[in-house]
Amino acid sequence: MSDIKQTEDIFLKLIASTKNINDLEAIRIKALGKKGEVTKLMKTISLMEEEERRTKAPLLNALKDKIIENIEKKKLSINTDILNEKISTEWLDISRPSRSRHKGKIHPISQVTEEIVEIFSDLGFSIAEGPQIESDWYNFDALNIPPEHPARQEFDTFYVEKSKNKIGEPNVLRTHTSPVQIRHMEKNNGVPCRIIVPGKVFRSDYDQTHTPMFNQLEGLAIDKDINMGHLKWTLEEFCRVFFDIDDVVLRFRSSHFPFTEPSAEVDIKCSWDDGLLKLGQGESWLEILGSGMVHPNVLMACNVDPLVYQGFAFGMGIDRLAMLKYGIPDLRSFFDSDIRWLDHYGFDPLHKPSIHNGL
Amino acid sequence: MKFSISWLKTYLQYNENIDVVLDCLNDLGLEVESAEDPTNVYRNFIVGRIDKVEKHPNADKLKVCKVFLGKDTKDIVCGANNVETGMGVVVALPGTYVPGLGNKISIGKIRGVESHGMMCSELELNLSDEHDGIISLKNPKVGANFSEWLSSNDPDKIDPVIEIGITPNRPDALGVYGIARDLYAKGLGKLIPRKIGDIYSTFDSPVDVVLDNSVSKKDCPYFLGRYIKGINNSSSPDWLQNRLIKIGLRPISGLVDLTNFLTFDSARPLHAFDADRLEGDLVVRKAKNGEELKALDGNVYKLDDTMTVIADSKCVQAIGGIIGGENSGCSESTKNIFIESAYFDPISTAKTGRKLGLITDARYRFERGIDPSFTKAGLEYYTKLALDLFGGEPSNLVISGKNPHIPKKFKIDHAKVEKITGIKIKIEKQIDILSKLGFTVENKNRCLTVHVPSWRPDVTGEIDLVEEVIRVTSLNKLNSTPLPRNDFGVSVNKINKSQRNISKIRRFLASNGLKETINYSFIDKESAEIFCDDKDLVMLSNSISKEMTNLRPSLIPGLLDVVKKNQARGLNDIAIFEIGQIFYGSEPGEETLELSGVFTGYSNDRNAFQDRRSYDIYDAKFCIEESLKTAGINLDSLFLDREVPSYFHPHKSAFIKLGKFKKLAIFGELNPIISNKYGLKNHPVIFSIFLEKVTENKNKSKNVKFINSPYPSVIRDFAFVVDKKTEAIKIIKIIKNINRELITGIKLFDVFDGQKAHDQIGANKKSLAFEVTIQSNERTLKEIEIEDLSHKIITNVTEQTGGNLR
Repeated sequence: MSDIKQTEDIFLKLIASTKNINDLEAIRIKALGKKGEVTKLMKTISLMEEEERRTKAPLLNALKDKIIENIEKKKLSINTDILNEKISTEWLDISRPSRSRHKGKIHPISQVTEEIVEIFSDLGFSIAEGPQIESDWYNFDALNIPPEHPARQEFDTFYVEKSKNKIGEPNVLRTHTSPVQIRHMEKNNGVPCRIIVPGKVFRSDYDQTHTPMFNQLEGLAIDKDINMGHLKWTLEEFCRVFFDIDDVVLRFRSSHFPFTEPSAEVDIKCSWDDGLLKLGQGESWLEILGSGMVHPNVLMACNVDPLVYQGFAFGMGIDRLAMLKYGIPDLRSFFDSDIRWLDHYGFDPLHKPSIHNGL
Repeated sequence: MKFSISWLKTYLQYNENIDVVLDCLNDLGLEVESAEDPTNVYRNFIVGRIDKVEKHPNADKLKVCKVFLGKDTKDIVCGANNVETGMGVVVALPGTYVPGLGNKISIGKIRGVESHGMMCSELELNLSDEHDGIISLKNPKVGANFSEWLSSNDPDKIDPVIEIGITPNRPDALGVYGIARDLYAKGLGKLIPRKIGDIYSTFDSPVDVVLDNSVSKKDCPYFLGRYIKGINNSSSPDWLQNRLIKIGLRPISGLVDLTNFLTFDSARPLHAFDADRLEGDLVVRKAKNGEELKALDGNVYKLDDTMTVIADSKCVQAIGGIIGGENSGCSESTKNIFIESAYFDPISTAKTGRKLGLITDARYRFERGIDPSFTKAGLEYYTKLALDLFGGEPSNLVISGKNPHIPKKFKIDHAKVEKITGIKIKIEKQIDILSKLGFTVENKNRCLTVHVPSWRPDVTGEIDLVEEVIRVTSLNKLNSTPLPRNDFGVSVNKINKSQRNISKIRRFLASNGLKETINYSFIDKESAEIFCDDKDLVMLSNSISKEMTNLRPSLIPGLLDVVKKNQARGLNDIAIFEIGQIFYGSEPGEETLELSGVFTGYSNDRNAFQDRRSYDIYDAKFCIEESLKTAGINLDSLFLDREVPSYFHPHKSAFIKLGKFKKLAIFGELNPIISNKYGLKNHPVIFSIFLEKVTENKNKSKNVKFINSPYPSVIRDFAFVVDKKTEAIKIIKIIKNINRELITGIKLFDVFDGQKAHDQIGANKKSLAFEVTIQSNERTLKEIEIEDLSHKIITNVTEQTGGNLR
């Protein structure tokens, strides 16, 4: 009895007084190694009488467990001390610039186009597309702009030279996205329809506020009972969501476009405080788009019966919408591809517009 | 189109203020582009009286004036030589904006004497160019503002001027009278008809007019003229001069001013010939090729046989509907005139004007459509005014041809307005609006037949009448009406798969460090030739600069231009792409959507981690592969083809093909020759993805089961010394083919190539090291199996490549 207790006392003292891992390992061997003191004691169990074993074996097992437990505890304690010592001397300059790489960006026009698509998709509009080189018919005639119409001269049209082996009238670079209206409506199931057409258009004009290429958004909704009140609501809804303003006030001003009748230019209420534009409030008006009810001649050009079908169309500049929404000052900079500009005005690719998350 | 309020008031009697007029104009579709109301400017200046003039103590030419302003007296230093005691003057107090100076004045010390304001000259107030001395006012009401003085003494000076934009469909609004008529229909005041009166003639015109067959049918079907003898072409009276000055026209002489007046008053251009400079009768005909006219603008125009001219027996004297000739123009010495009022066809006038590059107020109106029925009345109006102002005796009218106006009438369903606009307007109101605009409306049992007035060529059907009614009523009355949803339930699939894939690819590239650009679709001819890949060149007939002559056959040259511009700005790390149309023919549809990108410089900034690296072609390859995966293409079915266009480096580039024939993409280093030609700092990596080929892939993505083997995997490394031109993909395929089930991964983790390699492992040799993962989904592999596989890898690779295990 007493030698068990004695052995325990001796080893617990030794363990307690140890300061390093090597000494601790030596103690472990001395106690629990093949020839260790505790091992020796454990070996006596098999030699014991039944009765003695019944009382002594649990004590010896307890001794062994206790010594193992103490060694482990001590090991942890020594290691913690070592780590604490190490930590106390370690230091990093956390102010150093972080690891980085050049970031990619989405062009504002792509971003804004996707925003627009989100809104109109929710209103049931699909995206339609059409060619950028167009015939006179689609770009003008079918849109109720006959060859000598004065409006035709105001488009600053680019003409495309015939490539070799091609004959016929020269084609144009589309001056607006409106020809896609025609291409869509003349299809078999062209009407009723709700489409939007985002795309590049071209006019030979280059100055502070004009670039020979820019981006337009066309909208077209044709059905049996679509009237100009629906147009107003659609544009109000669009502006409300796109510009994220609660109270949108739009002003419809009579105007003239050959392909719509009646036609309206649409202004949005705004204010200019210290040169800073705020939409939705104030005393000024800012023109944002042109629109109207599709002219019966346009419907007829697509073999759509104007006595049955009617509807609205509108067109707006995507670049201009982007400038207004994101405060981009210069149209020309969109196509200048200055890396710093793209970094500044471009969008994080993970920022994919979603109407339900907010644009 | 510019006009002054006083001019408008000659035809419209109303009391509303100018803001109401502006709102009405905008609402009517006569868009206000600018409105200048001088009252607002001159209100800030005060009428004063000089009570005392003293010499300036320090300057001989300056005077110090005591100026009484009604309540107090200010000291004002002045350099004008016309100052004298008792004179009425216009004073700008400190803080007042002086338009002629372009800034605000402040209290200043002039040669040691404080001056508390400024006495203004006409130039300083933008009243005229007069700057010899300050304004001296008659009847000065001291203390009043200058606008008040002007309104009772010189009202023309504060007459507001409005400029409106006229859409091409409204030639009738190119005259003040037409604008007044629109405002009247809108409910603003009362329209005052033009007073033309009768002309009593005493003799037949000595000049006759003949319409040649070449013009009488269409280009000039109607021509009226009148001879006035003994006229005195003095300068026109102040009211007429002021009308013209206000809208930016320079008064020239009475007769010329009067034609300008009629142009802007009634949209009726006329031409007055000096009759003594005409030889014989006038004939309206087509010009002969090569004929010339020295016109009133001083330029000589070469004419051809498509152009309508007015000629005497000797030569051309005017280009019909556009401009008169200098020779027969009216001058101060003109005594006898022949005045012309004709109808010229809009289309041929426009064509002639465009050919000559000549825009005049007359052409502008004729090409949009003159009121043919006002031809005679316009001439009478001119004659009346000319006789009243400049005397003379009028001849009988000379009339050639006949009024080409064809009366039009349309039925309008009175419910149509509501059907189109959603606004209910009573039939009586509709009739009232149309009548006030000059339409004649017959109402038989609420069925309207509307006769179109001669001045409205734009009205060609029922819908135009609907427009007139709603335009005058105001589009601001539109009721916002929700567009009914036509989808039941959730609205889905509004963009098609190809549009969706393109959006995904765009965002994938941007999330991997590439910036999206949008560049002009035009490039220069030489670039188009270099990058056309044997496509037809597509040129513009009317390009705006030599950098923009062709439609791009490739996105690459535009991107290289971006590289160059940015390098010039010192921005050398460039990873960009563009998605856009490229063109391969001049016909609609001969275009396709592509994606191209360029890498040059480093993938990150210079940094302390020493992990900066240059972009290389494998960045481009990664972009392509991942984009193709996005579109649902299996990379295992792709092939590389080194036969590339010459603008690529011939040995550092390849097409990526699906199967043997379908080219999906291309990547590689820009040919250094091209790089030098464009003046680029280094040799960029370029790539293109032929999006329409990629997104036409119809494979529906299938769900693939996730397999995670519970059995251990073994990793073995192998390094082979092979011939320098051995492609890594060849070895990868050899290894994979040994056992596609058990060999689950092969990674190339080291390439040892270059001079050092050649020295160590042999000339033209390189070492490729692969990490091969071996694992079964069904059991733990035995050592012997792994050894067997390893052995096969070594044998097969060395045998099939002629290389050695390193």
